[in-house]
Amino acid sequence: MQNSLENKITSYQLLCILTGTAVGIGLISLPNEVTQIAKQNGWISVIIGGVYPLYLVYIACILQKKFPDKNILQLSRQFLGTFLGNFLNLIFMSNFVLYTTAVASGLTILLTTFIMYFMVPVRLLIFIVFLGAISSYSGLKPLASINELIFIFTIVVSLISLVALGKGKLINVLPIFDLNTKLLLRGSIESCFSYGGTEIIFLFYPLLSDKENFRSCALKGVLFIVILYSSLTFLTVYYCGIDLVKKSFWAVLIAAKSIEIPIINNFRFIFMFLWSIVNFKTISNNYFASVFILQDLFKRSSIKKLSVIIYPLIILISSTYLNEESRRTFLKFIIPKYTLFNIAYLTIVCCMALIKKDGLNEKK
Amino acid sequence: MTYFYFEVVCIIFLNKLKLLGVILMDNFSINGNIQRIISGLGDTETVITRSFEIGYKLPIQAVLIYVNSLADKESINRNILNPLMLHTDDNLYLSSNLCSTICKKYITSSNTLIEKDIAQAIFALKRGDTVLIIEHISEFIIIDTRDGKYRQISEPLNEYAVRGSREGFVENLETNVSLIRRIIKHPDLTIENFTLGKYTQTDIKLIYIDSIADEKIMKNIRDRLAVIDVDSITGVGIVEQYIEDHPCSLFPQCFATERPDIVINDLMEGRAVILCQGTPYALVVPALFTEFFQAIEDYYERSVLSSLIRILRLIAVILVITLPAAYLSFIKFNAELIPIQFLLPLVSTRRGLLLTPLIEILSMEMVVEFLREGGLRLPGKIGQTLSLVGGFIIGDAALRARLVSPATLVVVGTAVIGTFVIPNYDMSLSIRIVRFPMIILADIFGIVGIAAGWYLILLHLFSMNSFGVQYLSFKRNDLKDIFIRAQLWNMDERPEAIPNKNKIRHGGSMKKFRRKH
Repeated sequence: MQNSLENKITSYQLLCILTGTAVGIGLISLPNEVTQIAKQNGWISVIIGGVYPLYLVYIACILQKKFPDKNILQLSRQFLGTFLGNFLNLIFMSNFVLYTTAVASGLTILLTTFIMYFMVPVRLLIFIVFLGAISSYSGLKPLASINELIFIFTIVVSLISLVALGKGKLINVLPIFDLNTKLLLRGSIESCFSYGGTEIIFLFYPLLSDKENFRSCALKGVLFIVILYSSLTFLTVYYCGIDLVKKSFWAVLIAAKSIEIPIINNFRFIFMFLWSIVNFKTISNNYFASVFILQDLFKRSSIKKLSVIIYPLIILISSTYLNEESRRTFLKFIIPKYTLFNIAYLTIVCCMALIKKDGLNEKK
Repeated sequence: MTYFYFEVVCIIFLNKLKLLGVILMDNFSINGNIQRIISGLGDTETVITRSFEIGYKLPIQAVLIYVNSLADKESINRNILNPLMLHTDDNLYLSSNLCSTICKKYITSSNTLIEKDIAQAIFALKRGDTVLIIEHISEFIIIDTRDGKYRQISEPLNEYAVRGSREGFVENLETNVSLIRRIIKHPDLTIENFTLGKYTQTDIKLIYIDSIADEKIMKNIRDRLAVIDVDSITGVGIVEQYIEDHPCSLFPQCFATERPDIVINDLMEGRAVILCQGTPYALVVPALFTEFFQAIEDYYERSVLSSLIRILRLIAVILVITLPAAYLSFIKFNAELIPIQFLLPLVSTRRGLLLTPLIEILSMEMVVEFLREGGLRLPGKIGQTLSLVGGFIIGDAALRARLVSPATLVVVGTAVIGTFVIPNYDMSLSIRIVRFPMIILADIFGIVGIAAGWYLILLHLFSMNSFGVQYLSFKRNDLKDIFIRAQLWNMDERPEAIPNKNKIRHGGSMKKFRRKH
């Protein structure tokens, strides 16, 4: 009822942040990446890949139940000691830095390729990262609100794409259950980048104003992402056929071109306009998560100050892979390792939390 | 005869005995008090002191003080001097309850007050009251003789409603309070008084409904008003700037209105109203961003019609901010997106143009803004002539001189007309300014600049707060009254966005009744 300005978020806002951090540039490149390995069954790989965020939510639920007022950073310090805990938190932070830079550079490449060919990529990158920095500077509450709004926006834009993709042919996805388990599993690793960002729930669950709804909201969020990704991958193959999807970095955009609207020649333009807003939010969330962890490490500095300090660093890192080929190669190499780290790190903290039977008393 | 003298001596003796305590206690002196009052009032030229005697046989010395231009002399003559000088009873003698007797039996004014505090007497004098001082008595009688020569209640000039009331606030604070009191009769209507400005000592009233308004928010407003320490307050717009949260923001954080019916509706939603002496505007706090796009007539019309109008307003706001920027982005960077049927005439009109697209749009926007601002400041008919003739002549001449293309004029004109759809003047000003940074962003980054511009606007709005309330928020229940206007019987709860003590606006019986019938 109360519209207070305390630094608390609702579980619905957490759902929006969760989906908002994961859904971004990865969605457009996902069909291309998974079909390279899993062929027309790429969408099944995407569903299998969904086990990763589901597992994260499962761990988060355990931690939230045992330690409702402590986030992962405090818990890792508590169980693993200050030095090791902080060191692992720093690696956990670099995860978000990687997502921020990868999405920022990916968006820059996408935009300069299709609609902003007049712009020097670095200049656009500086501007895009600036949006992330200023969002992070504003703090959690405005960020949560903007995520809430853009969540609805994402649904609308995704639905438009799904409708556009519905014009395909069934033969493109046949044979549907020609399963090769090995390939499907390998394909699911490719979807890790798209699911990256869901780790953000470990940072914000203590800030919930309605903690009892955490579990259902987190699950809904993850299910939304899995359904969105798998359906979009399925329909992209359904519309374009596997050969075309394999050759196009951003296969989803091919379908967007097929929608006809008056005045504008090309709907892809509108789609990219709308999708760039969705990506601004993804960058902002990851940027804020990085700053949030940094602030936990350097307690003297404020979120505002740190948002400004890491701005040049993020630009520097993002600008190192302003080429789609090298960006993808780098991400293919680094993302599985980060995913493994996340699983190990979070599982260890969770196990430690389970061993400490009397977790609730730890608060005292 | 001897008996009479004896009676007089006795009375005088008794009087002296009764008053002895008072005299000694208060160290009272009539002249001293007059001097203190005059020095408290400052300007001696406008202060009138009128000495007279009450009664015939044993006259009592009295002094009447008032400020020349503020008090109503007719009322003083009729209600105070006439009864006291000509119609007093001979048995009137000095006693501690003399003031009370005079008030009860002689002064025919509707409002009198007996005060001991000289500061209260000075306070009242400054507002047009008259103070009566009687010899040997330390109390003052304050008599309401305020001059009612103010502008009469008239139709609100800037907020017209076809089906709404024709009453608007005026400059007189008391009249404005009465306009609210006339409608809200419930005892929970609370009015708090403030006097702000070291020199102007302007009266400010904070009005809210105690059983609805949230304590924390009211305290927040009260605290902000209390810390204002300035020389002068000449209008509610100045108060607004001293109490708002984000002084550098482009968007208004207090809702200014000249319509009492809007104020009443806002009070019912748990907000507070600030009224200031001398301003025909009320300030509603806390304000929400969405509120600025709601006109009072939305609630007087049928809900379907109001909802359509609201959607129209939303489209207008989006167009005002986006259209010139999008046009610029299309013609400068993404001409391939314009269908060939549109592109050919567009190219032919743009051939040989002197100015670049950015300068062309900006210059046209500037000219329109000049005309608007000029039209606003000039008196009615001249203003209209300026807008019409200036618009036609300059528009036509700019086209002929090949300074701008017709398409640019259409786009800029549409955007300007769009700003008139926004019902609130302050917000309409803000929205029309927002489109300038948007044009600059579009000039640098094309369509992505517009996307980023919208993102930044939303982020800014979400990060703002108004008196402890988030400025822009979309609560599920409040959506009934944001983009559309649901049926009134369906809006059974007060807006969630503003904290309140009692969230139920009306009982659920209306809903049940609707379902049955």
